[in-house]
This record gives sequence, C-alpha cells and structure tokens, in this order.
Amino acid sequence: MLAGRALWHNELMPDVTEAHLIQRARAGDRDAIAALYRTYVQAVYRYVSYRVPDDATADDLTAEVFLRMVEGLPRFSLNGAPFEAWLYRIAAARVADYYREQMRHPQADLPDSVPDRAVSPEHALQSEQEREAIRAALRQLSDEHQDILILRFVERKSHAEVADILGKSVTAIKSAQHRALTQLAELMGLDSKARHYLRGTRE
Amino acid sequence: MSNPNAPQYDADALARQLDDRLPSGDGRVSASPGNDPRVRAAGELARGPHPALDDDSVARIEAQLRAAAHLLYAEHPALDEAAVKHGEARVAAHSRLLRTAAVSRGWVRGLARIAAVLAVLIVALYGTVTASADSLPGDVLYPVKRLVERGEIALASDNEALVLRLEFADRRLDEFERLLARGDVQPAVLDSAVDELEAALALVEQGTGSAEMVARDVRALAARHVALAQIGGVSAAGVRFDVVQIVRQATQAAAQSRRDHVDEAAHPQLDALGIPAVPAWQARILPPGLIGNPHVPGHVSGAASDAVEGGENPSANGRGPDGTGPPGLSGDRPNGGAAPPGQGRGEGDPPGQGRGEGGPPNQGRGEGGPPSSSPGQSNGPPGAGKP
Repeated sequence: MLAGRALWHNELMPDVTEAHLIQRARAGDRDAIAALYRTYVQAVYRYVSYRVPDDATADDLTAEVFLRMVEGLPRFSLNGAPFEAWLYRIAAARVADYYREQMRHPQADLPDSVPDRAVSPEHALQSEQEREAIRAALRQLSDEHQDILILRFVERKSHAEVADILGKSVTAIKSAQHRALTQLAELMGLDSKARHYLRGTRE
Repeated sequence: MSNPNAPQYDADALARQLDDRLPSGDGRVSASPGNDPRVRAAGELARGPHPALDDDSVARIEAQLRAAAHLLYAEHPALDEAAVKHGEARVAAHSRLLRTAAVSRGWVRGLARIAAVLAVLIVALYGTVTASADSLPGDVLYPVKRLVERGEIALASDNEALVLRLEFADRRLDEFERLLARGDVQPAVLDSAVDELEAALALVEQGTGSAEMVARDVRALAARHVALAQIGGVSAAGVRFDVVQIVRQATQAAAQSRRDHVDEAAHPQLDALGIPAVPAWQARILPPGLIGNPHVPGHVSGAASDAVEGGENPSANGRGPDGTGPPGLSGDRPNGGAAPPGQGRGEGDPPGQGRGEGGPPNQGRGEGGPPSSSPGQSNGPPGAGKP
C-alpha cells in the first residue's frame, strides 16, 4: 500500500490523506499518530497473532510495534517504502526478536503458552480449535511463507501489494505462494496425507 | 479443475485460481473452493474468524503511544534535527520502559501465580515452624525445629550465637525431661545438649561474652544434665565424659577472665563461681519429696553437681569452703566429711582413689563418686584428691 493511496481511510481524520497524516505525525501531532495507529492496529495485531502462539504475546508485540513506529517516525521517509510495509517490517522484526528470545530463554511452563484466544459467542469451540490448528500449521512454515500467506489470505492483499510490502517481485511472490500453499495443504492433511498439523494439538 | 501434479500447473496458474476464488481487497471466500488442496488450504486460512484486539487493549496501547509522543515532541514543537535526536533518545528510553512493562505483562501473570503459591507456602512454612517449636525428638516436625535453630545460629553474631547455644542446650535438656516424663529415655538428646555447651565454650575461648557468666550458666546446665541422666537411668558410661570437661573449661575460662580483670588479692577465692547449694534446676526437675531423699530411686545426690564442678576450681579441693566437702545437693552430708575409699571423696583419699581431676561421676577416682545411695556417704567435691 502506498502512502496517500485513494483507498486509504482512517476513522479519526477521514479527510486527511495518509501522506499528510504521516507528515503531521512526524511533526509531533499526537492525534495524527493516534490516527495512524488506529488505522493499522488491527492489521498488525492479526499479523502478529498468526505468527505467535498466544494472545498475550500478540498484544505485547503489537504495542511494541507501534512504540517503534513513534520512535522511528522522525526518520521515516515518504519517498521510501510504503508506510504499511514499514509497519509490517517492524512487526516481522519484533516477531523474530520474540522467537530469538524464546530460543535463548525457553519458557516451557508459561501458562500463556497455551492458546487462550477467546471464543466468540457465534463460534463454537470446535470451530475455534480448527482455527488454532490452522494457525499451528501455518507457524510451521518459514517466516517468508507465513508472511506471504497472512498478507494474501488474512489481509487479502493482491500479489502486487504483497510484493510491494515484502520488497519482492510479483513472480517471486507467486512462486513462494505456490510452495507455501503446497506445504500448508500437506500440513493440514488436505492432500490426503496424514494430518500432521494436528499432531501435538489433538489427534 | 487442473491437476495439481501436472507440469502446467505452475505458480501462475495457482495465482489465477486464487484470484478467482479468493479475490483480494475483500473478505469474500468462494463457496466452492474446488479440489485443489492448495486453494482449499488458502480458503481455510481466509475463512476466519480472525483474531482482533479488544477495545480496551486498543485504548491502552494508544495511551502509551501518546505518552511516548509527548516525551518526544513536547519540548520541541518545531522539529529540527537536533530536537529530533534529543527526542528520540528520550522516547527510546521511555519506550523501553513501556515495552518492558508491556512485554512483561505475560511474566507478571505468571509471577502473580508464583507469588500466590509462595504466599501459601510461606503461611504453611510459618505454621510448620511455629508448630515445630514444641516438638520432641522423634516427632515429624522435630527436624524443622533443629533446622530453624541452625538457621538462627548461622545468622547470629558471635555474642548472639553464644546466648543461643546456651539456650539450645537448655532446650535439649527440656526435651530430654519431657521425654523422660513419658518414659522415653533418649541419651542422644543429652549428647546434643553437650554439643551445644561445647559450642558455647568454643565461642568463649575465642573471646566472646563474659567467661564468668557463661561458666555459671554452663555449670548449671551441666549439673542439670547429669541429674537428668541419673533420673533417666542413663548409665555412667552413657553420660558423656565431656560434661565434666566442659565444666572444667568453663571454670578455667572464668578464672582466667578473673585473673585478667580482677585484683586477685581482693578476690583470692573464686567460690562465687560455684553452683548454688540447692540449684533451681533441682527444685524444677524433682518432686519436693525426692529432694534430699537418698533412698528414692533416681535420687540426685551431690555427686551430680560435684561431678560438674570440675577439679580445676580452686575452691573444689576436696573440701568445701570450710575445708570439707561442700554440702551435697541432696543435703545428706551438709558438712561433708571424709568419704570411704572408693566412694569418691575429697582431699585425703587413699592413693588411687582420688586424683583431683574433674571426671565423670562414678569413676571411683575421688572426684565425686556415684550418686549417694546410703546415708553418710561422702559427696565430696571432685578436684583435689591426691594420688
């Protein structure tokens, strides 16, 4: 997504383009910063939420992403990468930091390691478990494959948008998408192979 | 539907199929994803529901951002490069704090549970320690009691440790006495008391505390020790010889202390260090009818205290201050007198029957024989019997 694109919308300042909002945010306008945050918070949270195993961590990392945004705004260039892409890169870096920290200090018995996503009234427990199984399968893919699939099918970005955000060509994105979906289908047992993705969650 | 394994089914074909069934830009998912497992996997992923941050969390994070922005921009509304750098440093510091707080919330939840468990454990531990105070050897909680004592010693200064050692010795004797009351004789408890006395004296020798005061306490405790041993029927061999040795050490330490600090001309005698003729312990541990009655089994004679007087006390030279043995504790020979050979007597014992060395009772060496079992038996003090 490019700064200032026509489809951009924010609820706090509906008449202001994203580029203008970013300019004001860089100048210290806290309402502009809040507007940018409100625009992207759920997308960033969804992305992080699919990448990490529990809600509490997703919540914390989302907060961290936007704090980094506030820190980095003075250095952000409107002529560089799209603002949204910049946020996703911050988010991806925070997720990588999280797993690096997990490797250094494994927390085998943390209660939050068990997914604790709330089940909405309109969705049954089984449905929620299926969602968790899909997320668990997704997390077995490489970081790049996860990013592509989340942006493509959770955020419903086009191949071009995903290529823009990840700084790759559309061809590379399509090729990686092909491999990622092939692997995900296997993990989900959709190609008649064993339901590997359920292993460790339920039989 | 294309065959996913056919060579022509490449990434572009899959992309086209996905664009058709899962168009970007909206949340629409085709009702018929077809047979391609890749498309079906993508459809499953797209179907949702997707996680969403709740309103409270959204507001909380926004408040954090506004606070961070305030720090960054408040003092520098018109940003120049220097201001930005200054602000960045400040906001970075603030953000670290906020991040720490945010990231640590997961920890906080875990720590809160740990804290709750610890609180329960502390309460339980406190209750256990309190309950263990009255425990006796053999009780389940007795090891806790001893463990707490060791902890107290470990944390105490030398002076405090000295007091504690004497207190613990007294505690061991109490325990022995309580066990005795229910017919359970445990000589090991008496040994523990001796260990505490030894530890106390070791501290005295290192210059801790008042030697005279300690000597007095040690003598009283040792006397009680011997008396309890006799009441409990612990044989002479079961009473540790070092009880006497301990008393001697205490007495020596006290005498040395006096020589160092007191004009000996003004205080030629150290009789003041002697134990009371009728010590409080005797009244405490014996029924009134038993005191002074040599015929009662378990009767404690003067030998008990004599034994613990030790032979090094200048006053304990085989006779009391009046030149005879001091009054026996049971009072059977108030003025002392020559004891029959082999019965333990003071000065004038036949060769080989009294050497004036503080030894355990019933050694037949003149330093205070076994408990008197008949009237008239000498209970002369240990100490000065000549070979």
